[in-house]
Amino acid sequence: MRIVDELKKGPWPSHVAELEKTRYTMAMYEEALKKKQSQWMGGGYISAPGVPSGIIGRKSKRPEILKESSVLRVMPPPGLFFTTSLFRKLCGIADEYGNGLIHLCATTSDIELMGIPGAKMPEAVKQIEGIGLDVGSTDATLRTAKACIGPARCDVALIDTIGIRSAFTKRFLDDMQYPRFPHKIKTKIAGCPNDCVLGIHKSEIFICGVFRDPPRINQQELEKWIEKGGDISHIVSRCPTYAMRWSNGELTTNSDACVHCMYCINQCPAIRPGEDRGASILVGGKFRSKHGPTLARVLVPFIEAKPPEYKEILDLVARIVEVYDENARTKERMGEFLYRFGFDKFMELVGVKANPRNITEPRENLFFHWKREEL
Amino acid sequence: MPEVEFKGVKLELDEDGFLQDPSKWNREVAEFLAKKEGIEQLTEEHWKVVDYLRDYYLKYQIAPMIRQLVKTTNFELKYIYKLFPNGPAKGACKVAGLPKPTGCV
Repeated sequence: MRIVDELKKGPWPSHVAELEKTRYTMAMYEEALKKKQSQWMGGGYISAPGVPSGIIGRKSKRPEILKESSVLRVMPPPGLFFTTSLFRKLCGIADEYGNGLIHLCATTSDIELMGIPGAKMPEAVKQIEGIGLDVGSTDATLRTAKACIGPARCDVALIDTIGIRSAFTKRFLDDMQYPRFPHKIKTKIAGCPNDCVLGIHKSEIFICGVFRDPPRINQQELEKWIEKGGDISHIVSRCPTYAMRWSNGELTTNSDACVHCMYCINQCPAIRPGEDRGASILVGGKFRSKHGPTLARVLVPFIEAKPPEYKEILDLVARIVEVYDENARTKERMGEFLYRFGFDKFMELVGVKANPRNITEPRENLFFHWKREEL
Repeated sequence: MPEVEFKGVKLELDEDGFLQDPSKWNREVAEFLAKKEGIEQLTEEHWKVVDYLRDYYLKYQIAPMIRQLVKTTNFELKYIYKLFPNGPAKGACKVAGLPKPTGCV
């Protein structure tokens, strides 16, 4: 009796029944369930002739069942908009060369074609390039930028995330395909401070849409919303900096106190983000860092986003990458590098002026004074 | 471990084709290893990369980082991949007779 057969029983959908439709080696899964341990060896990146990055090696601990089952990583179109014809072609390639399984929205929104043997890789890469997609984004490269859906569907998107991602890919395509950095560099682009792509936790370089002026309030729409049963006094009481005031049927905001936390904008449809929009650049977030989870720090609080090239943002990204490449040690991620190297020195090398918004926390010891030479 | 005989000298290679004993390397051996890599003729630009890797290795007993290689030779990384299709680590270091690099390059 096989354990995988047990997993097919019952009225609910079964992943084993679905896997058996492909050419996935079920014996490997069976062995893993028996031994209560994965029968795949730890990953690594391999390169085939002419393919510097894009292949993830996956060797088996049980060569008598299956020797290897490598993965080909393909960079998706921006915004993850696919046409059905592109999907059909992609599925055809996955079926012809691999075992027929595809990971969609894998790490940094890549596509992964599973189970392609190493000898067939160069041919599969040629096929992928033939349908207009690029392979890459493995090893010590700039990884594919992950962008939220942005202005395509979202009401509060402050910058054109899909446009920035497209410009980013066009400009740094060589760095995405030829590994040359000390370690991987992940980039995420979020349209607003709600940060649906989790950029502040999980990305080396985080481009976040922000606005500088206070939120716009549409009084007429607000009255309609309150008539329908909206509780504006609750929203005002939840403002973290007490920047809102609700009296005599009128809502006012104190623009100096507002920290743009997005709470009122998310809760009430009559309050919308301001008009003075741009991007904010944060660096060095990493969830499983050597020094515990680190959040990304603000490097530049506000930078203008000018389509279609986004030159200001991408020049800054290029400078950050260059400083990291020059000074970091091998296998050191950006957050760990900043911890060792020092944020002040890093800012100086990138060429950014210090700003009160770079501070992550207030001073703990008010009675400690720095020596004049150290400042 | 495969052994290759080249002009009366036995060369020990590891499973990936890297030369085990760097002291047995000379320019003819480099051309022999390059042919195994699929490079027909070693040009001056090939030699610039190979000589730099060789000098650095003899000095520090380790392969250089990629950024040092790119900076010193003034070639773009893309061009180095064109010269050595397997890249600076698996291609160029093999031709230069370095042992298999760990991690970088």
